[in-house]
Amino acid sequence: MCYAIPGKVIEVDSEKNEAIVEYGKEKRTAQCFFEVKEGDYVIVSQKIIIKKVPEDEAKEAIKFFMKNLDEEVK
Amino acid sequence: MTPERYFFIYAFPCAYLKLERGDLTKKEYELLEKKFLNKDSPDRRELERVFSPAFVWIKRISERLNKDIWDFNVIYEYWNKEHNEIINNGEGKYSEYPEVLKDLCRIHEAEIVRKQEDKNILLVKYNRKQRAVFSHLVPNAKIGDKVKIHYAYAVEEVE
Repeated sequence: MCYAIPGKVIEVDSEKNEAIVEYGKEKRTAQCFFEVKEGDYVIVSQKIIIKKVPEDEAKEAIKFFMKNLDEEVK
Repeated sequence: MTPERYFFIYAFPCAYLKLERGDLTKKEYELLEKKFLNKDSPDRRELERVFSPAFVWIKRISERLNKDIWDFNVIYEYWNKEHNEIINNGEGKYSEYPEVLKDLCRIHEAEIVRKQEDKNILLVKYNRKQRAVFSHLVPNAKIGDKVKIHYAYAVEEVE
């Protein structure tokens, strides 16, 4: 899992300032230091959400990384 | 600051990407991180090995300026000017990168809007975007100050 792949926020715990971020079938918990909501696409590094990403850019990036992963497997 | 350290403070933030890609082992990454946080730097040979793609561009600058690749001005020129231009022009591997990744790769000048000192985190804004970055290298920076950011790190204060 490359940390530059955007993930989708599927749950936010505002008391703990944490969010669950989904990457396909994998889920990771990350700390938030700014407001995020369910459905937002984010970049996580070292267990913190470092930025939000517009949906169109996120989908472009996910497509790019999935293509590269496929080529590595081949 | 030595040219090695100056190169390293800007290069280290992308080492995490190299770790997750499998280009660096966890042990190699941890050794680099220790030096990064302790105001130290690997030697020139090690830096040229780990961050080899950068030296293709640094060599080009050194030839243009007619200076050694480890001349401080050459390293400074790379991180403060040429690096973003290479990304914007889509040279080399950047031709394929999506905008999300290019934005993380670019060096940005960002303004501090909040400090989370217990976690060594700064919330910064740049180009109408916000980002959370680690503050280890700029412990004295205050809200309103400007810092250079690369990936998940604030690298140095803007004078």
